Amino acid sequence: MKILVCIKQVPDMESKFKVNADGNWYVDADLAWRMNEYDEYAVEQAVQLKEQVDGSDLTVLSIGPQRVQETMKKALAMGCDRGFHIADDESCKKDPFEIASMIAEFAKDKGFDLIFTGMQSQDRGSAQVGVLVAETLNLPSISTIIDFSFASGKVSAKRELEGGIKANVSCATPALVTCQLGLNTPRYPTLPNIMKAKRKELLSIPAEELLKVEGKQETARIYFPEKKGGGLVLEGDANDLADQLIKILKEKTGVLA
Amino acid sequence: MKALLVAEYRDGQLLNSSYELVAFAEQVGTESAMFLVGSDSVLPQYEGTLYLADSSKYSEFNPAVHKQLLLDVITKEQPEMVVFAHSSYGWDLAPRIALALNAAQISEVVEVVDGTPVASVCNAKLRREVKAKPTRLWSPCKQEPLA
Repeated sequence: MKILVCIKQVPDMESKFKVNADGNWYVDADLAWRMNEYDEYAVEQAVQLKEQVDGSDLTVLSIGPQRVQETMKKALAMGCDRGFHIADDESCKKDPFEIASMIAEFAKDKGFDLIFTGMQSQDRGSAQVGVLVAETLNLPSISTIIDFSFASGKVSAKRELEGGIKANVSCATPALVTCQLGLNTPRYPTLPNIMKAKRKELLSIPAEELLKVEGKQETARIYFPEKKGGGLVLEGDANDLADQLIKILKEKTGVLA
Repeated sequence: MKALLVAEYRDGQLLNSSYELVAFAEQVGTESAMFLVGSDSVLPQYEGTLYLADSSKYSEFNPAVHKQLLLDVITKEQPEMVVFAHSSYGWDLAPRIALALNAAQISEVVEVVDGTPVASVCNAKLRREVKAKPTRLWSPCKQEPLA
């Protein structure tokens, strides 16, 4: 069975972000980078499937600058067999359609039986790439899965809907699934597997070789949202509350002027 | 400008997010029509044109079928914008429609400022103004966090 898992390297969301000089993205220096959390579940599920089906081969793919190879090595240490890096220093400027097109261009003649992606990335959060890849390749896709099983060429999954409701969905392979948080428990790479990962194949090709479309959108401006003032709870009896409220309205607003 | 609002129905109920889409269209100041795969027993309180497909016939979740139903309505209505809820249904269906229409999909739109959609980035730590390149249609998703 041939399996592909697509991952993205994202900054740690607790980072202190700065807006770049062009004002259209965040500065990528001095950030701690990690695997997109949704993709960790995708990698774990792909590795579990590889372990279930004898003779499987699992490729991890990522798009971005050289530093994304560090995140790919974690996926290799978790159990992926080989890595395919689409080198692109400007990947943050690519829109979901361009990213999906590159993945589809890579995957179209490889005969993957199953493709795993995260349901969305933590930084851009578009939740589009997985489904776009499937549509481009004319594959069935199941999005936002929180349970996965595979038997007799058929995927059975549970989709997470709102309000705690889940939906059972199944489809035949080849197919693509996008993974929601909580799908499984991503494993920690062991030290021996980290060492083994260093010897696994990791190919890199320039994005230009796979990018054959133009983007449909761009970030015109990025900025920090205005901080909204905190609420104020007044306590006491009604007469005191009325006095306090009138005082605040006089001091802070012009409604009583 | 015209927006096609994609309302949602589940387990015999119209989802309240459907009305968020109506409010969104009013906020943007666009005329609208509505698409729903649901039931005539729980119709939305909506004054515009409603295109209703019977969920007992087409299923509540069948991406390929819902996609085609929606594309048929888009062909008829020719909206400049298709609006989905930022929900499991919207996440699944919107990219399929965007690709079929060769259109930009702008996800997780939290506001529209002077006609420009603003989306959230990095767990809402940042905001970004998104510019769709000239295409037939753009399709924002209103934010509706998972409960």
